[in-house]
This record gives sequence, structure tokens and C-alpha cells, in this order.
Amino acid sequence: MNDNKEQFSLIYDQYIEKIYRFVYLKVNSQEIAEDITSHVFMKGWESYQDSREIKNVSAFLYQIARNSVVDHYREKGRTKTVSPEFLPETADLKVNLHEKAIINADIELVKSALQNIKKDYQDVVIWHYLEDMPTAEIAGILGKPEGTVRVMLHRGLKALQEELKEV
Amino acid sequence: MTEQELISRLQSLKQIKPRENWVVFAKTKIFDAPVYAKYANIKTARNSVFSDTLASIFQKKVAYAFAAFLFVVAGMFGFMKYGFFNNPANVQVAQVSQEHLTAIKSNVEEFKTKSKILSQMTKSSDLKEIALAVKEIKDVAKELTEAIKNDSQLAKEVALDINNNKTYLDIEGEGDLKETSDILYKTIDEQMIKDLEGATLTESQQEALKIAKKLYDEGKYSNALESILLLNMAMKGN
Repeated sequence: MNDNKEQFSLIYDQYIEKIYRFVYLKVNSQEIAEDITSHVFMKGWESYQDSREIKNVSAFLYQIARNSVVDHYREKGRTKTVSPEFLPETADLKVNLHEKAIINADIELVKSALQNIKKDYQDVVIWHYLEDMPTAEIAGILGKPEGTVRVMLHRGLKALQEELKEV
Repeated sequence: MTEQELISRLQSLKQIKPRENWVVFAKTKIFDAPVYAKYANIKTARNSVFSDTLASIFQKKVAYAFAAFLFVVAGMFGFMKYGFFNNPANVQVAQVSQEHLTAIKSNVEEFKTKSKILSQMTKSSDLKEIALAVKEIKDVAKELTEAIKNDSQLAKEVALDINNNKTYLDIEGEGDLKETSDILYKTIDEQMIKDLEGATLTESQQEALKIAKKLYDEGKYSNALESILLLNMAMKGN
């Protein structure tokens, strides 16, 4: 039990930021992202205690996160809203206010564009370009051939470029 | 925009990070699920009472909320000190002398009067009056800070109430008050960290204390306080 706890504690430390970021970019709300991320790790911990063999922790957690986000939209019938007033808590950049405002506006722009592309593209773009996940691993999570993932990445980037053009 | 530029923009999203306090809290919640439920219940109950009081007096004028809060605490301080606080361990009604009762009444009356004055002040925005009020508030804070230095139990009670009214304590453009509140937070943090260092902690609790100390060292006193309180709740549940 204690070994399990210790191991899962390390997994938590390693993945909490990544899973939170992934969820946040899908739901665009700090409060909801926190709730869903807690749920992801709670579920993960339950499975871990059942000694279920987890070959790929990353794939395991992202899969729970994806399903939880889908459940969130399905159960609550919520639609995505992009609030221009809301900015996530960001790391302390130690830059002046003007620079910070520009950076935040930039983040907000990309975030909004990302939220307007197809959900499947969102996932692969976030995993590959944000979380530096290799295409083989993404293929593992999605259960699709690596070639398909590369095509999705290419199309995702194009869709994103189009979105940003329209702004 | 080139593909490279787009990728570099995408990577700027790495700045999106969860709140440090929440990360600690969520971890505690996962490993000590019953404790979380207990904390959530206490927090909700306390929040409603204090939020309603403050909101009705100041109509959520946040800039002066710290002032309002201090008067609330100053009033409560009398109750806590003389055993009237709603904590079974502190109920010593029988031992309260007539003199103490007068002191408590006077504290409450002072709170009511000063609250009214401050409420008017937020409308008039008279700089002289505000300066005077700020001085009075600083005096109250100083008294509280001194009291907390010598009483770790009081530090815990005040800490809980501060945390439950956190949204009311964001002071915009009041440098003087910000400094005062920082000193109060800092004193509470010091007292509570000292207490926790003397306690037996599990591995995850030690980790939580480490984070709280880090926040304290960085001068993020209110964030440190939040972490300490979560840790306290986790310890009470064990």
C-alpha cells in the first residue's frame, strides 16, 4: 500500500501540470479544469491501488482525461465558451506589465484558435507540440497507426493557421 | 505565420500551470479523501456566515475589505480570548468575569461603529478620513499580530477566518494596508510553521510543509497560509 502510494505520488508530481494543461485547454475554465484533473488522478489512484497493470502511465492518464472531458460536456450539456476576460494563472515571467500583457494576449489568441479546431486535432497538437510527446506514443493512446497521427498533426497545424489568419 | 512561428506560439501555452496551492490540496484530497470532505463542509459553513456579514456591510467594496475583516476579527478576538468562540474546547463561559463581558461588548460595539464609519467613507472617498481609518486599522492589525505571536491556538483560528474570507482581502491600490496584511500573514505563517515543525508528519505532509515554507520564503505569505491550513486539516483527519 505504502509503495503504491509513494509511486503514485511520483506519478502525480510528474503529470499534474501536463494533465491540468491538457484539460484546461479543452474546457477553458480554471475551476472546471481543477475539478476534472482531480477526478482524473482520483480515478488513476483507484486503478493503481487495484494493482491493475499499467504499461504506459502517460497514455493511461491522458485516456482518463479525454474521457472525463467528454463526460463533462455530455453530462452537463455544456457548450464551450471562450471568455476574453479570463486568463490562466501563468508562471511568473518577471517581465514588465506591458510585455506581460502582450504575452498574455498572444497566449489567449493561440488558446482560442486551438479551441476552434476539431477535437481530434486539438489532442494531437497539444500532445506533440506542447507536451513533446512522440508520434508513436500518441498512436498508442489513440490506437491508430503512426502515419495517421502524422497526417492528423499536419492537418491540425493547417487548421490552426487558418484560425489564426481569421483573427 | 510560418509553421515554426506557430509551433513556437503553441509552446508558449506551457505557461499555463495549475495553482501551486491547488496542486498540494488535490494531492491531499486523493490520498486522504475523507479529510477533504470534512474540510469542504467546514469551509462552506464558515464562508457563508462571514461572506454574508461582510457583503451586507460593504456591498463587496473590495478595496476596504481588509479593514472590514480586521474589525470582524477584532470583535471575534474578544470572544475567542474569553472563551465564547464556537469551539467546544474553548468554551469556558462559567469562568468569564463581569469585566471580561464588558470588554467583549465593547469590542462588538467598536466593530459596529467603525464598520459604519468605514461604510460611509467608501462613498465619500475623503482622503483625510481614509488616512485616519487606515491608521486605526493598522493599530488593530498590530494588536492582533502581537496577540498571535504569543498564542498559537489564536493564530490557527484567525488563519482559518482569514483564509475563508480571502476573496475579500485582495487589496487594490492600498500599499499601506497591503504591507499591514502581509505582516499579519507572515506572523501567522511563522507561528504555524513552528508548530508543524514540532509535529510528527507523514511523508506527504512533510512535502506539503516544504511547499508552504517555500512559499513563505518567496514572500507569498497568503499562499503559504493556504497550504498550511490544508495541511492542518489533513493532520486533524488522520
